[in-house]
Amino acid sequence: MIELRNIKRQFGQTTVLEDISLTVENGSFTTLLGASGSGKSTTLRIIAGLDTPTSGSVMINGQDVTQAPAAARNIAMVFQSYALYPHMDVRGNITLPLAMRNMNRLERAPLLNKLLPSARQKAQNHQEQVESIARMLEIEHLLARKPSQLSGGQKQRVAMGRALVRDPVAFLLDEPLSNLDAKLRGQMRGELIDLHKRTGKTFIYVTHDQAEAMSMSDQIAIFMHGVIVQKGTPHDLYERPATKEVAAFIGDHPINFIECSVEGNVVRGPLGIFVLDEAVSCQNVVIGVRPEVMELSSETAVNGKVERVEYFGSKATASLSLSNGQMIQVVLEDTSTLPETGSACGLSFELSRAHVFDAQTGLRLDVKVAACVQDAAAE
Amino acid sequence: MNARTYTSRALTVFFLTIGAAILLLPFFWMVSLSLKTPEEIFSPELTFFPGSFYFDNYIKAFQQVPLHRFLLNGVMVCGGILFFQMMFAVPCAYALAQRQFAGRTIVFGMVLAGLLVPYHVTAVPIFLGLAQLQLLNTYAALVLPFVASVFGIFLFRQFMATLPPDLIDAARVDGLSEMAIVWRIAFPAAWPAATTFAIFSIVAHWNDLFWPMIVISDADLATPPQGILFFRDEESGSDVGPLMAAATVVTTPLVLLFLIAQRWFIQGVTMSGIKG
Repeated sequence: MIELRNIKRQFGQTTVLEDISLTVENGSFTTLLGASGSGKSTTLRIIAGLDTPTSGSVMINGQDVTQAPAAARNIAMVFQSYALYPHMDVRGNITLPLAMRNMNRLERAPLLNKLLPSARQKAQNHQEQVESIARMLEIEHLLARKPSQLSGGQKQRVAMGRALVRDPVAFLLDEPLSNLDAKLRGQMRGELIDLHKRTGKTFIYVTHDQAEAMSMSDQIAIFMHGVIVQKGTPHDLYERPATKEVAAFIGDHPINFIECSVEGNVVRGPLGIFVLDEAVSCQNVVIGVRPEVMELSSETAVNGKVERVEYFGSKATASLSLSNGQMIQVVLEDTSTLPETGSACGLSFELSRAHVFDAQTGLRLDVKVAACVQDAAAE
Repeated sequence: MNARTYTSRALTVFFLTIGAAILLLPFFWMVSLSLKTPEEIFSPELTFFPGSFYFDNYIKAFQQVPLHRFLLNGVMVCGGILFFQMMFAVPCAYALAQRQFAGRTIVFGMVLAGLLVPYHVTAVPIFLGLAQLQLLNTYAALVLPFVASVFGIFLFRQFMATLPPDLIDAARVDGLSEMAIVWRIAFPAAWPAATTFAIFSIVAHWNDLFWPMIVISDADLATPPQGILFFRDEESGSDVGPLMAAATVVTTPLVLLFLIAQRWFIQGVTMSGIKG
């Protein structure tokens, strides 16, 4: 189990991490998700021991390792740039961490090690391990090549191999897929999930891509401006986003925010008048509705005009403008008949799946939209 | 290729050829003289090429003075200097390029300042120091003053500063200590710089006459160029053939070394932004 306790990190006057606390269970796949500069990579470097927190502590399996250097932590890491050793061939790259862990200084010494029977025995052991890893990652035929002779995907596999070959406490992956093209990224994503299942190891994965995070993780921690704004399962984050920002960050299609005024439990806005199941104390709320829970409807009154339709084959999205000029996105599951651009449409959504946020603070309000009493055009 | 570019290229090649010829002429003359008979050398007509290959000059060169001994001294001294220079310059350059510590900029500034001071300036104090230590007339006197090379530190630092920080971090995660990173990752990655530096260092110290003349008076410890001087002293300048043969023998290893290492040398010079 890896635990971060109240980690704070400052570079000079700038605070990069503010009170980060996170627990990563053994064998879990945890993703640190956030935009660039949100502190997720710094957090990963602190777990790896490549950076030291200004205050707070890092615990690995109950031991405080805050001050321990990277070499003493037995953690494997895959870098975005792969960081393969350019002067060694693939075999050398994968063997090095094994040699560093298992051999003493004498056994690693060049030339001399040829004379030591123990070194010979270990070296042979290592070769077997390297070859079995290479077989698993299907890079056996590349073992004699130098990194400069490999494609991006192949480098990625070698970097994985170098991490997998020893038996680390956890694998840290720093945006490992972001330098690959879209198709290869999809394939590697699947392979990573399989790899996690097969090895049963703790994976800590850093990415800015919410789709990667959602599809792979057991637990996601969302970083914004140096704090974790929410952590939970992908399902939690999608269904119960803690803030407006989280709701906007998660999801394949950007969520629609509709500004409304409130009186008690009655909400008035451009989509009509709604009743909340409980009264709220603030004056304005923002209702967040995901495009995929909205639909065009002929039963409600006309309240939008179709401005643009994008067709993707399996689905389509329509952008509508409301009477106040706001744009709303709707995902159309049924692509057999698409609405005409310029036509007027009614809009409805699954009330129970709408999110209500305080307009001022952006925090989630623990209320549900219970009913729609009047739609906009009927006013 | 049109006429204009053809002319401009022809002109370029022409001038480069002249330049090369001027640079090579003394060497050519040295080799040519070393293969001529004494009569040919002192004949009134000027002939570029020796009439026949007269190898006796080379045999004489090795017989009249212990040339093999001077060559061996040269190898010992240059090898020793290079070994210690690398030992000190490489870890130092790594620290300056890839590690954060207080005073790093100041230390690097001092290295740069050190580049500006010619070693002749410190020759007298170092001589006095070696005299106090009773180290004059030893290999140590030839090697010790040069073991810390600011030029080497600077060259390696420039090269190591281009190594991606991820590479160093990957090595740390893989369990390498800082010293292991220096010798297993940074040094091999800076191989072109090492070749460049080795050539600069070996050429400078193999050809150096100034320092050996100051600290060495024992003929057994003489370096190759110092050895050549013995011809002039002992044979009063009359024996030009063996003198030139000895000079050829002393120069050849450097030429061979450069030809072998040429590819890395040029890479090292261009990649570190240093023009030799």
